[in-house]
Amino acid sequence: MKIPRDENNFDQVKFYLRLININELMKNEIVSKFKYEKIKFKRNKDSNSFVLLVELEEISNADNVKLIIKDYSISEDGYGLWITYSSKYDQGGFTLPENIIRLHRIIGGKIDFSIINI
Amino acid sequence: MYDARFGRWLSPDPYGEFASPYLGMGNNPTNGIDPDGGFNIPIGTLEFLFSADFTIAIAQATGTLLNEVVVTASLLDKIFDKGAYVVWRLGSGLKQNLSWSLDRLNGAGQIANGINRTFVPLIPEYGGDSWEAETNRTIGTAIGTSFQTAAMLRGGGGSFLPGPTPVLVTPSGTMPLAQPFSAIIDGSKIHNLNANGKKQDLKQVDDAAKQLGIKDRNGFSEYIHEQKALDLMGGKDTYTYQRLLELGREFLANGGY
Repeated sequence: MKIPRDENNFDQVKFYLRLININELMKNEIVSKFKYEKIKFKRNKDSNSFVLLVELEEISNADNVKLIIKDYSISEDGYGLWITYSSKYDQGGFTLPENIIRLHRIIGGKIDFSIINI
Repeated sequence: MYDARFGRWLSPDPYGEFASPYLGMGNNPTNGIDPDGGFNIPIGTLEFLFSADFTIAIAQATGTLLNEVVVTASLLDKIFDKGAYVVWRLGSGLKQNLSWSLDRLNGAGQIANGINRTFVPLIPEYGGDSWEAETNRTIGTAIGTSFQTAAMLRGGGGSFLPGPTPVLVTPSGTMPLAQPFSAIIDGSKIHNLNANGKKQDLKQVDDAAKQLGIKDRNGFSEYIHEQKALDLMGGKDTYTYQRLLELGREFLANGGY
């Protein structure tokens, strides 16, 4: 989500689903279920598990997310929304889109905000 | 190179202004910074990496924006005494002078093999391109000397590049620290890094991008956001400045610009 500012500048907001402590089998299955989303993952060296980061652009994957969390019995502290905000301005902000609010109502989990003033 | 401890140049004053060529600023260092001695160093970024207790104070001669810094010999001595090294980043104009004079020093065998001497592109506000080197005492001294050499061989007075009123950087005692820290002078301010390697001021990502010449700030920002998530950090957690530099290099290596 881009928030227009002056002189063709914009603030960037992105929404992700983050799943942690995912084993390799789960990782492969989950990746295959998100066909159209951008997914990044990284192996945690200590626990030999994966962290998955799914960029959320459409509400269409809300049901998908809900099923994954249910099917794999992922605990509430093992997933959540990862929301990023990048801005060139030292004042600003954004309103959470309705689809993200609805998604969180459906799936629950933590909400983390990562903010960078560039 | 002027040694404030002894009030003497460690090498002859190129202009022979005083009775002894090793006498600095007419034995009156508080009233001058020897602008003709070749030690005015216009810089993009001068990064000091300290390995032990150290603090520096910056005294701004006027209210003008800083882009010239005078590094005293005693300041360098203090750094090198701690076994630390200095990363020099210099604007293109000065780079040409320095490159030329360093070549001469190289020819004279004054610079040891193994110096990390590369030209790295930086964003325009840092002078387009720059010369970078990590130096130990020998090389640091050679660099200081090279400024004087260049000034002498060029035969002109004044500093190499026109700029605002020079700024004097002097040592001012010590500050106990548990771990190494860094300070970065980026032309307008000094950033102190705390004992954990985190910059104590804002705009760390922006500064890291500048230091590495990253132009795509949005892309770099997104890269950091994603790495935080993948590194199991919380939204409130922050990287150290050194880690940001590592991520910046990764970003560039992965096709960022």
